[in-house]
Amino acid sequence: MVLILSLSLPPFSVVYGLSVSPIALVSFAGDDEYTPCCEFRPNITSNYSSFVLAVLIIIFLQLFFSYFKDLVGREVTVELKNDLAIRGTLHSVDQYLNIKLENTRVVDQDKYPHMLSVRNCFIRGSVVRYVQLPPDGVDVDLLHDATRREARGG
Amino acid sequence: MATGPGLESLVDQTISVITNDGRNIVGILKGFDQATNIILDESHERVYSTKEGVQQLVLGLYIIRGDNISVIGELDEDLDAHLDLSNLRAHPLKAVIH
Repeated sequence: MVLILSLSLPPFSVVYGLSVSPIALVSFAGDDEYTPCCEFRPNITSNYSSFVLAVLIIIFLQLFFSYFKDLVGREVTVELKNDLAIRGTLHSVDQYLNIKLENTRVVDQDKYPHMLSVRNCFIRGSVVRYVQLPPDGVDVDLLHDATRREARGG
Repeated sequence: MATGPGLESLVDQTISVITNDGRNIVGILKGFDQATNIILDESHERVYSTKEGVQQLVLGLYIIRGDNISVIGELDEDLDAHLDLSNLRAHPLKAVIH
């Protein structure tokens, strides 16, 4: 079984440390004989499940980007990996899930006075642990459908 | 699609950067790129401690690598002027654990 996928998203190469060019990634799974039909990168381990995982990661990066774009204007609390929690209005998001918040205040201001004079901030996507959403901001059914569709390979 | 971080509005403004190791660096944003590497002019570091007030260490012109940046905040000068840094006691920020 030979799978061919062409990838052009920059985050992929960062995640896997591969040098990917927007040509093709070829994965093999337990083939006894195969006819190489396109260029392939020999440093990809021919593990089918990790390949599928990689594809799913790419797909989900787009799904959450679209989801956050719909949440612009809502009040959210972003908890970072250094335990800092910042509350603010979601101003914008980008493909790396970097978040721009307006009207920010730190949740525990006495413990974290480091951002007392900051009212708008840009949070790098790589340091976000959680994004706490308003309960009425989540249409669970819609999200379920979107996820199911994406997972199916839509 | 890959438009990079929307930091154009912050160029030539005073910003407060929180790095992955928990440092707080204040300076004027001069430039940035797609990887969120930034150029900071007239920068100084604010060292918070529980024993003494906030220390300000002058750094000058700095380039901070993007993968070491957590938060870039727009510093409101008026709010900052009202802060009494010498009487501010706080634990230093924790480092980022991935």
